[in-house]
Amino acid sequence: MKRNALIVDDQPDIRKLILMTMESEDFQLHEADNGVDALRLAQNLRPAVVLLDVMMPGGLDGYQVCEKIKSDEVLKSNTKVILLTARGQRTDVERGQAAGCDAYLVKPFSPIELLDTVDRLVPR
Amino acid sequence: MAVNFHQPSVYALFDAMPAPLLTFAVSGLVTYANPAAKQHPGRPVETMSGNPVIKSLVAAATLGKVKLPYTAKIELADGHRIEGSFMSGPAGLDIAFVGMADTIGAASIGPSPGHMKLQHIMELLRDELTPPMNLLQRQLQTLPSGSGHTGVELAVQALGQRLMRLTDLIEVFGNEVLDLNDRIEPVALMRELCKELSDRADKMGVRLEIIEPKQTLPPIYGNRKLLTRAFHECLENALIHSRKEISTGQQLAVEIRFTLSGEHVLLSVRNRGVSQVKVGGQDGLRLFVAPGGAEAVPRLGLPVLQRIVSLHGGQLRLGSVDEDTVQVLMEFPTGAPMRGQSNLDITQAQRYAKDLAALMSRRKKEKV
Repeated sequence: MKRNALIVDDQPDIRKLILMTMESEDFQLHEADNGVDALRLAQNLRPAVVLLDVMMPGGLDGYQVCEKIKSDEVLKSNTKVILLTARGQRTDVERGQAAGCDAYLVKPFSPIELLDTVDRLVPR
Repeated sequence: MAVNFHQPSVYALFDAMPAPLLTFAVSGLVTYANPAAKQHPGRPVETMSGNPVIKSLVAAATLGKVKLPYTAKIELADGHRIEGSFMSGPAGLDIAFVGMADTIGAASIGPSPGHMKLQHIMELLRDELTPPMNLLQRQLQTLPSGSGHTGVELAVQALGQRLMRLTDLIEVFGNEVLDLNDRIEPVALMRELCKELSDRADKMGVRLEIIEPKQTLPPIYGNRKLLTRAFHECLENALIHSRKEISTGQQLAVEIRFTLSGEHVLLSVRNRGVSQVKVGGQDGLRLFVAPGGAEAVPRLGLPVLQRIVSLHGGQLRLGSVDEDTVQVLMEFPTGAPMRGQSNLDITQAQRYAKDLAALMSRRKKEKV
């Protein structure tokens, strides 16, 4: 049975690129375009990995979604979070770590880098 | 800069130069001029020595705020102008100016526009105004206590605040690209500012009241310094107007409320006056766009506020609820700043295209 992966970004083009990269992997892919939907889907699907954009409009940004996932008793040990962001400064990385993320990719990131990170966090 | 050469040799060399050369002390006064400078028809020694712009430039260069060499066009006497470079002088902290080309015609004194960046203007402004401000403050401290100079002290403080506003105003109206990548939690920022202003508010008999949002608010991505200025302007305005409108000793309140509306964070600041209108009700609020409400905000503050809000892709509305109650409403988008305008998508697509071959080959290997 395929594991779930959740791709969260408010920009459809970025979601499409990540879907293209991940489609032949061993995952059932799901997507969300905002933090609130992402959290709801994460709680329902219990994905193995969440690829999560940081700067999202609306109710929750990526750091906040990450914090909520990592404070959820069910999700925190089974769901890995990879933050995707255009913000590569040290303070941003530290903010991501404080939110509990498992990895941090700075846009523009390479698809190979993305797959390697996913493989490292959730080996087949 | 502080390297000392064998002075007589250096000046002999300068004397022989066909180009005008002058050196300036930190005070902006000419300390040396070669014969070419002395004989120049534009009389650079008289025109440039002690000139306030030259003085500020030399001071800024000495402090390392202006990078040398620094090219500038200087207007001299009788319509002459000279283009040249300011550079480190041959002795001590002196700054030298070497004229490269001179012409006759209209020109303005100071650096050529291409070299005078916004930052330099702000630095010059600060350099020009900070010393007299400090002097004034020092003079105030020497006054005997209880001599009723509190008013003067407040006036000096107000002047200092105007200066800060002015530099912020220049910054936000400039053409230089602003960094809008700070992650700002609006409620936390407002709490900090309320704490900062609490002493002053207490003295004025005004209570600053933050109504905590019911849901988790997303952050605003923008420029922390400028948003701090915008929130500060808003609170300052609310304080001033609360007290101006109500002259009794009655306790007044300024209500600060954050709400999330779709993809926007709304910040409303309202002075509730003594009538204590119902909190949070839709009580006939008539919002209108400035400049209709310009009287409600100090002249310098309003354009700063409007500009900062618009730089963040937001909207500013001012309104009055009733006779006692004035409301300022700011609406900020959440999510990535300048969404849809950045070329991030393009760079991300390019990065993918570049690695596509590697990705395909990886998949082939996996199939095998």
